[in-house]
Amino acid sequence: MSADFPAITSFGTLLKYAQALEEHLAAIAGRAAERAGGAGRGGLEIRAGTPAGLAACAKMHARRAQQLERLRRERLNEVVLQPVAGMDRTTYLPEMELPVAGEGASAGDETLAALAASEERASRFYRDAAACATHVLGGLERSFGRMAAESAEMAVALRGR
Amino acid sequence: MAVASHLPEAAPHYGRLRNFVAGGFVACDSARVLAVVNPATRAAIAQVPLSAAVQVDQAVSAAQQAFEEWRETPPNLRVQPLFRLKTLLEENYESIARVLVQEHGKVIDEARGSVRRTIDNLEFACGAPTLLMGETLEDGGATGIDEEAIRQPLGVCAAIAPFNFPAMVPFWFWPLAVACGNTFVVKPSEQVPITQAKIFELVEEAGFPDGVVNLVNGDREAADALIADPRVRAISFVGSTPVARQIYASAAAHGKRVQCQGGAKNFITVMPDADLDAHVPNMVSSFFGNSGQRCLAGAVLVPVGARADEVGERFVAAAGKLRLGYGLDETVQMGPLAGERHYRRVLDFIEQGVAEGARLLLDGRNPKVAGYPEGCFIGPTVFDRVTPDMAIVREEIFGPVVTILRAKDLDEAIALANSGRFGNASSIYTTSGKAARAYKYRVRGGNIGVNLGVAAPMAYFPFGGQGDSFFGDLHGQGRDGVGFFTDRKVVISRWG
Repeated sequence: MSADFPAITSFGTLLKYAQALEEHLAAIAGRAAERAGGAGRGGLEIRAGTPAGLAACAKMHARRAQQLERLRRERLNEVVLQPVAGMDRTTYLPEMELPVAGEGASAGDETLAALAASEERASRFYRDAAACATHVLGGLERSFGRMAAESAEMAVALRGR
Repeated sequence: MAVASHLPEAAPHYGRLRNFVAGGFVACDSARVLAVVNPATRAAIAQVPLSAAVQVDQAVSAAQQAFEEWRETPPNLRVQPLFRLKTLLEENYESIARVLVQEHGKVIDEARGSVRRTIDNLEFACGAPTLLMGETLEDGGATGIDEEAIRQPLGVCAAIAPFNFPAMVPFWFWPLAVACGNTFVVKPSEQVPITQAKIFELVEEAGFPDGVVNLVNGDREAADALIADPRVRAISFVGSTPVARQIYASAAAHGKRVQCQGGAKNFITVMPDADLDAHVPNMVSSFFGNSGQRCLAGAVLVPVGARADEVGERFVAAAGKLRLGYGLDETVQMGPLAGERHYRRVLDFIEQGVAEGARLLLDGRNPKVAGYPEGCFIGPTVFDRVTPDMAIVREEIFGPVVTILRAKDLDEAIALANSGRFGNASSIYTTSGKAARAYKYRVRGGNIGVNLGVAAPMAYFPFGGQGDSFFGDLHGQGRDGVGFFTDRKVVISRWG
């Protein structure tokens, strides 16, 4: 799965990385939501403070993946192309797999912790991408900033804080 | 860790290309055929027949035949196939970009960006019903005599396109011309004809009436036939200055309206107060984007004042990090030159710079590009300690070769920018509004950038240079384009 996250050297790879991130987060949040669907399975449940549950988390990432595709197509023109440097792909990699579901509350905690950690890395990715976009694409800076904030909020909710 | 960043080619080979005449693709039985070569791999990826005068005549005849009915088609209906083509281009955006990389060598982001600008031009042309509206003045002639100015199409128009932007440049011209009621013949560069061939598959699907838009593959012989044909009323050309000058003279001698965009040697001035942290990557993109093969590329870096050495060092450091390779690898930042002949020409300029005594800070000759040992690659090349009389400073190289020419102050930088015969583009990096204002006021050039290195006008602004970078009156794109593709007529009326 990590093979889908390219080195970040250009506008295209920055957006490709972001899209891979969103698709992956949508997938793992969706799987977690399925697990949570069965009462008592693994002890996984939506914590108080989670915005709208794991399914909503998956939906948010699917929506953002679509939004990124629009940005990739519409915002790209030669005036704004320039090399992108300083973003290490390994810094932002999400958890590739959810912990194996077991019995009891601890398995659910581990899953939520894994999702929260991934959201925190996503938030960091978008924060750095927003800074990077300041001089590349002003319009993207705002979008990335919003995504950074959303992921940060989601991470807090997943950790139940 | 393996990274899946290499995109697949749209096809390994595109066969023998055909012309598009009278609403359909037709075989061109010319005996003269060129191989189209992928400059990264040097693999042959298509054959392009080079049309002779007889094939050009077929296309012009089709366009001429379609003209009367097309000009009588209301503007709001004329733009409908353009709307459909816009949708088709959006649907095929990625595949066209990949074809473009394959035949030209630019990196995928650059290709996508140029497809986006292709679509931008199409969108602008869709506004023709508004753009074409005339002016009226009641009692403008005298009491009871009204006066109106209207725009009318010219007839058959043609574009002769360059090799550096295979998708976009023809779209500077033909969508607007057609929306204005003209019919059109496009001749793509014989070096990079595949992208337009793929786009014309969409043109066919979009449902333009037969003959409204036509495509003829060919080289100089086809271009000469278009220029000489008395039925062709206007010629748009983009290419080098010597050819632009020659076509301007020849087309004008044949009584045509003509706009010819020529070469460039763009000066990029960096003031001591420039924000280097923010803008060095943008400068690098200006000089090395599209491997330097664009008329808006920076060519001469002019650091001003005390920080000149620092500017040069930071620029060279950033340029030296650019990753070369096949543009379908999304992590690649710079592709090969577009073809063997041009590759050799750029190498010759580098040799000449060395022979003239310039100091080579960064040598892009013979770069090691893993997996593509045969490719037409030249890495970023930077000369310092040059003098204004050197060929590498005076001539358009059209490749990833930069010369650094220091200036003691802004006045000297402006004098340098105005010292050449070209006037296509120039940029200044500064945090001073006063310096920026002086630069845009005093520098000769059709396109001026402030804190950006590629001053490329969008579709709704005119695009063209000054000096030896442009021959003609009205530029491409924007309202200039509407003016170029229409005649003005004034009607003065008295009733009763």
